[in-house]
Amino acid sequence: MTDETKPVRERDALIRNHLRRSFEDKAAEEIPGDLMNLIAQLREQDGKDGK
Amino acid sequence: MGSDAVTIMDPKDELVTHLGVLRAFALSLCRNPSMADDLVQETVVKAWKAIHRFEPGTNMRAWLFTILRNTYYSSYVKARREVADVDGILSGQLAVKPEHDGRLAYTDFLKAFEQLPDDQREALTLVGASGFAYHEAAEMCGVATGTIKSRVSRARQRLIELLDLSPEDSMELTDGGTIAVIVAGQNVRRG
Repeated sequence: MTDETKPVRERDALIRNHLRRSFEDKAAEEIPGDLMNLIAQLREQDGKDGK
Repeated sequence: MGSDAVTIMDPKDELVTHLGVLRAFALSLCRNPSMADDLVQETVVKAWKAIHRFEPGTNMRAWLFTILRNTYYSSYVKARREVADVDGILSGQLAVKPEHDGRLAYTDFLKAFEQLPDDQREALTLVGASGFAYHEAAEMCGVATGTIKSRVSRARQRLIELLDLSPEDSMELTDGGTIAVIVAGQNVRRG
């Protein structure tokens, strides 16, 4: 690894890490109640439809 | 037990396990929590109704992301443009580089990421954050693999410009977790 490429690699790794952290933080947020209610409604409808 | 049989999860049960990442992808695209939640709900309804088309054993996350992005580009882009930046906040951010001192703060990164064009933000999210291969992201977006590679490359370059991180800059890594990840990666490569 040359002196020129090391800062670039570190910078790219830092960006990649922030990118993953950003996505994981969003994915870890609590699922909104409306969405869970929707799932429950869909399951209930499936039950009525005999699926 | 002793059974080697592979249990295949009911697709509808599996769908529910992807809600978090589906919402994360929607937030990355919309940059508006309310709109993202509407988008996820619409995606879930479409996927639920079309679940018979999903082939068990294949990549459900990719299938769901494809439905979500198609819904987004067909129904939400215009609406988002109408409500976005009514106060000129984003426009103001575009002209201001973060006042970092050679350090890359996470909050600066988030602001810069939100300023990327839709196609670049999407490509970076799919490949850089969600872990899809270039060819998988290309298939989901309906473009050539080279196009995704180009979008990712331009996105990275744009982030570097927005964050004022030219290769010549001496970047100080201040986040302990980040340093650990980078060091671990270098050790693996050396090994």
